[in-house]
Amino acid sequence: MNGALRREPVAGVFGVLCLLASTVAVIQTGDVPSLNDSTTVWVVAAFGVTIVLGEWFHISAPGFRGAAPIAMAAAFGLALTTELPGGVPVPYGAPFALTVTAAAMALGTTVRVAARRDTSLVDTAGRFVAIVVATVVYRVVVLGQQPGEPARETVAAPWQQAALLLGICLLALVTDALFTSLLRGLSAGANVRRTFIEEFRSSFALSIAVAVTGVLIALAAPPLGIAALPLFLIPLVLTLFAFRRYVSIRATYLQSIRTLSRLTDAAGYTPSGHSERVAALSVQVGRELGLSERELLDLEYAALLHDIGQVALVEPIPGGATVLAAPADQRRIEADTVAIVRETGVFEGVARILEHQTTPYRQVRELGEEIPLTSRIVKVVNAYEDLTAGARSARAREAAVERIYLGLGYEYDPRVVDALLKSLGSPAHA
Amino acid sequence: MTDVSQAATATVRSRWLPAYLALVVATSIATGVVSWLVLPRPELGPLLLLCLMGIVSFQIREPDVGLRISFSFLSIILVASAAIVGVFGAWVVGSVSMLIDRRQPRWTATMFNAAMCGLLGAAAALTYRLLGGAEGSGMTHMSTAELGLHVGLPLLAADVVGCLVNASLISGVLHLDQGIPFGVQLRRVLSGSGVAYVGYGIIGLLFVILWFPAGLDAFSALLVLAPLLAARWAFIQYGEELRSHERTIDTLVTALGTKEPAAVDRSRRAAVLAEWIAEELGLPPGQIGTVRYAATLHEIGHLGVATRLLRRSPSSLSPTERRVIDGHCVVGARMIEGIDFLEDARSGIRHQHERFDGTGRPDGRAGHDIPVAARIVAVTTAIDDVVRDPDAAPVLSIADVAGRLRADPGRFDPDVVTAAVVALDKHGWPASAPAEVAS
Repeated sequence: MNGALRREPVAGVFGVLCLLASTVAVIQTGDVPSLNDSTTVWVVAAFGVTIVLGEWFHISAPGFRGAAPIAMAAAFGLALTTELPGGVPVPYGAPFALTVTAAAMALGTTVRVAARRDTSLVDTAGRFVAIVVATVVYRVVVLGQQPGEPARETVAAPWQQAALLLGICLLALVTDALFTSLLRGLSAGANVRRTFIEEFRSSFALSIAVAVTGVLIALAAPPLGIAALPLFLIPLVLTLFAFRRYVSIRATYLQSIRTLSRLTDAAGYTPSGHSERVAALSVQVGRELGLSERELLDLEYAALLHDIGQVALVEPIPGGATVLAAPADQRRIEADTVAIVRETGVFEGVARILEHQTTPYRQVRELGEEIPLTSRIVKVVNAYEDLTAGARSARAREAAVERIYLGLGYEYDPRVVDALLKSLGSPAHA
Repeated sequence: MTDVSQAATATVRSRWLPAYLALVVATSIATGVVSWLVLPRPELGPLLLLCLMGIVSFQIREPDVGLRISFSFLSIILVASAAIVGVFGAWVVGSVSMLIDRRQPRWTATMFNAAMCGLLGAAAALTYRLLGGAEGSGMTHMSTAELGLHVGLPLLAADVVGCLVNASLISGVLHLDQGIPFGVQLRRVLSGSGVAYVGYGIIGLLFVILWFPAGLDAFSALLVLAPLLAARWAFIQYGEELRSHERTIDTLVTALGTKEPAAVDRSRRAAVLAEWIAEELGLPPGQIGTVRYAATLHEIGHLGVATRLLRRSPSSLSPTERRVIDGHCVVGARMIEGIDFLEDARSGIRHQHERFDGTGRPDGRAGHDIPVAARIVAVTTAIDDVVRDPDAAPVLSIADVAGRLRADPGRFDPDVVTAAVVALDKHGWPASAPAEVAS
């Protein structure tokens, strides 16, 4: 994980350099609006404050790219707004707009870091790159605006203007995803193209909403002035509340899994903590075998729930050890487990793992049956946990491994058993 | 906005229902005709565009978010219609959008939805007009302050009026169709979707601003799609949250059912009856949910009791064994610890065996110190036991059941017993009761 340590400072240095460069550009070109013009001061202040706030209220969740939709929409608005009510043009150009954005983003991020909230400098730097692209393309390339001069009036019809701005924003967002995946991919040694596709896909819907909001703010600025900023941000703010809800839904499912995994303990069917131990060890073995984060999550849930079907038993199995139960009983427990997990309706991946947790490995070899690697992991780790019964001594471990070796290749997948031995940190037993 | 989406359980059907439906439809048609004759007529192009948007928004609605209603952002289109196409236009948009409904099996419900929506559009547009809302190109050269006064405020008022019309008409039909008290349902709709309804109405205002003052015309429809889809995503999350709760509960009940199959049906009946009683007592919407959760899971602690004991008949148990079984409520409350949305329901499960006079278990609480969910669960399980007692007479009247409950005056909350009698009178026995039990 050395890469993870290095890319954040790189992004941080990059951000500071951007701030310095844009400040120098402002001073060099003299692109500073007069402070006597109160409308301009208000407009710039409103955009700046909104960007700071937006950076503070940024959102992140597992499986979601970190994003600051409010800050991004406001920054796009600042980049693209060239006209205020009464046909008054804004009296600043690209360097000044970029400096305001850079300073506001830096301030918001600094506050977050100071408050020890989780921050990703890579994502923040990526956002700034997007704004640079949008500002430069629109103000310098399309409008040909000179620093310090007001932009010339657009002659295009409103709908053409809207389409143009939208295109510029999309280009900017693609650059953002490209920049961050390049930084991530290079530092982690991963495939840049795959990281890019993943980054883009996971943030696509939100990015579109952000881009459109930025464009709408710029389009509504001529009739509404700075009032357009809060007004058009409202839908995004409401969406943020919905995002909280989205996060809490994930939490509910996680909590119910935890509760279900404890049911058999509470009912005295399994020794206490059995499911948690199987889950922790399974994840270690899965890591050893190079599973993706998504598969590891499913594996963890499956391991937590693998014994839940035991609640249907009239008499608990001694020690809750399914490995000692008759194969027919094992199958019945498995079927009940799968039925209960399927009832949640959202853990199809978990149910599929559990469906094969008792299938002997020989059916893969002899019959060519497809059993997920994750199921084989649960089978091996569960057997190991049942056989050691929670004991951590070297002797209990030896005895358990010995039993598993008897079923190697017939019951258990040798690759998984190897990985288990590796994660137990033991020397070769054979 | 909300519409009637699910076939009703058909237990309560007031004879006033057809009259109510006919009245709503007739009023809606009359409103349409009068507005066509008296008020300015809309342009055809924008009207068709808005109708199309309305139809699409209704087609991609989030179906059934519980409470037998569904969400769509049609309300946002209707708010925008109020300013863009006027009263008659908004009426047309509302009526047309709901007419194509392949998922709705009952044509009466489709008619009602269309009529309600037409009325809602017309009411919103009329509010806008009466408050001096600007129309069409009149907005083009307004200053920011004028836009706020002549477009923003009237549109917000129209939004609120639309929400109220929607909530009251829906509550009316659910009251007559399913016997849910009008006030309870009204509060439920308003607190559930009312805030979202009014809040997302802002998007309607944005739509209007883009259309006229920003000069985008029909192109604004394309741009406003992004906020509209964001709103839809938010609605979906609302539905998903409710569904995630239902699924969690269902999973727990299924787990219980693998151990004790009869418990599944008992849970269902307890949940239905408890919800009726809670509605009858006029509890706030959040508490009705808590009561239902507590009733559904009231036996979840059986998972922690040995199956041997559960299978024995109650009369053959020794006092110690009885106590072990009765301890299930404490076990159950502990089992679901850690699931946030069930936090309030836990006390309802733990205290279900308390007595109203304070001599019960496990904590000896008395009167209103016992959580209302626990008091309701106590009554529902007692009713279920009485009705299903194998020694009881095959035909029991509600009065008989009430008499049995009142025979032990210290056990139950008398208010809850009264509410239960009223609820049973209104709804009949919960659905899975056998046929020989007369109501």
